[in-house]
Amino acid sequence: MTLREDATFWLFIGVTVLPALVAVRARDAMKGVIWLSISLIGVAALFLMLGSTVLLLFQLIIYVGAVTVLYVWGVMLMRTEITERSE
Amino acid sequence: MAPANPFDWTFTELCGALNDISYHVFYAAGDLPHNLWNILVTSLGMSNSALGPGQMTFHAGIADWLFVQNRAIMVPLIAASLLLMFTLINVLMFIWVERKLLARFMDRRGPMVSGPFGLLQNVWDGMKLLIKENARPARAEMFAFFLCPVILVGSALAAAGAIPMSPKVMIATIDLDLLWVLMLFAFAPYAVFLGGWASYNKFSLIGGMRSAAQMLAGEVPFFLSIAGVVLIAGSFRFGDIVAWQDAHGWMIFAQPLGAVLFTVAVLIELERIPFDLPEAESELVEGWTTEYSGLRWGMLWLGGYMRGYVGCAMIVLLFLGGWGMPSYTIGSVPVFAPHILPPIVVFFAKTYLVFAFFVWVRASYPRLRTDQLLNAGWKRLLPLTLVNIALAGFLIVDQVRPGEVAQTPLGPASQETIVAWSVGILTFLVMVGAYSARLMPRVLQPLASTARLFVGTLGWFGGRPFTVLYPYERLEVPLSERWLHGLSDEKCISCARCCRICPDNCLNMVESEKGQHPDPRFTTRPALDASHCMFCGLCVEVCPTGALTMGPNYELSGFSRDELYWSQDQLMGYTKHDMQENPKKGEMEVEGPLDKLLYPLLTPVLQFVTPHNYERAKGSHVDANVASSAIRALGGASSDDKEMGLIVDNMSPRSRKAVEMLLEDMRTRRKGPRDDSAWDLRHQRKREPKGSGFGETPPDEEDGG
Repeated sequence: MTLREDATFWLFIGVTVLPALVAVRARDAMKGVIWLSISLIGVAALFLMLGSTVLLLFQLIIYVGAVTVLYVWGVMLMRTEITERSE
Repeated sequence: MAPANPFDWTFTELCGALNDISYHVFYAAGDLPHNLWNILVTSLGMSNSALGPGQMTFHAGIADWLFVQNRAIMVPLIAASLLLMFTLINVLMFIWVERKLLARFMDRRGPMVSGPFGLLQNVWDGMKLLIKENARPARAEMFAFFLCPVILVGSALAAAGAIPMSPKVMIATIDLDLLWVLMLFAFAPYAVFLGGWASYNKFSLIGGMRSAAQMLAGEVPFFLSIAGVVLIAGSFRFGDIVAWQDAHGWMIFAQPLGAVLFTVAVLIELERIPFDLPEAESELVEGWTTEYSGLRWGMLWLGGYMRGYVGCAMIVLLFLGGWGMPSYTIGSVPVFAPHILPPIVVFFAKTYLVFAFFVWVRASYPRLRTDQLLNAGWKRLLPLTLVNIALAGFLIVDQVRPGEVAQTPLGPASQETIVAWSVGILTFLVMVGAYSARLMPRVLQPLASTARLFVGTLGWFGGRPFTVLYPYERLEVPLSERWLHGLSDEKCISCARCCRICPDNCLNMVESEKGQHPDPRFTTRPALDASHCMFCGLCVEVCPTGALTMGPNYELSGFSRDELYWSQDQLMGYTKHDMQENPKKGEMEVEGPLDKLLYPLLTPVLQFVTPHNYERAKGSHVDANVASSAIRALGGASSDDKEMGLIVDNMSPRSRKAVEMLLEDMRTRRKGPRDDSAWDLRHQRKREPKGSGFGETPPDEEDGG
């Protein structure tokens, strides 16, 4: 691994892990889902780095495109004040 | 070396040529004035320290990424801007097609004023969006609010870039481009619910919720209905799928069910009518786009139509043979030979036809309810896509396990194929048997009513449009309409009854300057302030001599109050009103120099497209005024050739015919010995029994009050 590949790898690791942490700690469920989707995009980027375009695309289609939308739908259907914003 | 024929250029070669040009332009631009250069360079993120004509070194920033060895400067930029321009033009054309076709389905004309056939209308609409305010909701989640149009347009643009338009013309060559486009389609729901959620508006939020549910219900059949195509063609590449169709025939014949399912799923994904629940205007103001305004709203619109282009292109590429066209020959004579067309032309013709079909759908169907949509997506489309995949499996069972070939009535087939088809047909028959009790009411009747709606809409298409080309033609009202007054100089006796009875005080007796009444005692005439006339007609009723009439000139509009004031002499026709004298003054200047150039060229075409004749329409704009004047003259029972001559002077042939018909009509009604029939008519009407008139309250009631 060259230095550049190393740096890219750790960059993608950061893109995957940090949004996941933020998603877990988010008070607003909606924001949590959005951060989760960013984390999943980071996973897709890791797949790309490993040289599998098909995995990248399926990760984006299924996890980012469908599963997270399902989460969003679930969050929106919850009887909580999801529009309540902390000032 | 690029081939001589531009149609044979690949996009890379095109980019290479453009890159060479931009390279030279860029170096020549070193001679630009320093300030301009500075701005350009700093905006590109370059260091401006080492600037001089012909010798440029770039240090850091975006420049490093943009410039590879001082040469590849513009490749990504040119590719991106070409893609953007191409897609924008496509979107403008799509919107134009939609507006025009939808208008024709509704018997309107659609955009038609700016540019030939109104082609430029969308450009000006875009300009309008550009200068409108970009309002920001006070409590919106700003980042997500701004991100929504970016995601929508970005994903749609990236998807449009992956669509190949011919074997040679493509913006980007992406391996697995079908998957790539699917992936970008899957991104759009984010934009929708992000925008709906971030706007802090209940309409937006409900629209976003509906959208999330709808996208999910649509996405699964959307993906699964492609699976059959991919199984049969054996590739995730558009190019391979089109090549398969070139060799074996269009996929729609191999996968009819899949084509229908995919079209429905695309309509759901695009949120087009009948699946436009997320932006149902009648329930949720503008759905999830409610809080967006200005160019940001335009971006959402743009992204929507870009996705529309991608969806139509996908239908064409996957099911309708892409850029290929079958050709038929009898012997060696080509009977039907569309393959001589450039592939890109075939591709775009098909794409626009599919979009026209979408517009037809939009014109035909009402909006579904949410539960109907979800039922359709999960309970109908999804099982049917699975059936469709099974059908695709039957088709390719030969390829999976080539076995012993047997002769069947339909041709040679392997044993596996025969077994598979037998099982399939048997299953189908069993299903039909099981469902036959419910087949008629639940399946066939809805299908029949759907088809009836669809064909019925087509019957509306091409009808005579109701639109009135206002500056060129007026609504043709009956000549007996009661609008603007006319006054006969010879019959008015200056009694001022009209002024007294007028409930709005809009008639005043004024000394006539041009009148030629022989008796100097009777020279005052009523002048009309039409700005508050309510056209009750009391003045005409009360006129004892029938001097005051009302004609069919209903266009009482102007840019100032003065234009609504009709003096006594204007009412009598001695002086012309400004609007009559100079019709252009009160009207919008619609005819530009371009129109003047184009109308003679386009008139035959327009005659073909719409039953109205532009020339006739232009000539008729004085008709109402002329007819009004004629009534005025006839109301005065004037056989005065001078007055009639004045009126008929500048008449179009059509107006003259109208006046002649009117004169004929009046002549046939002249039964009595008297010449002035209008006076007669007035008095007959006055003699008719009526209820208590205005100001004719019986005295005993007055006393009682």
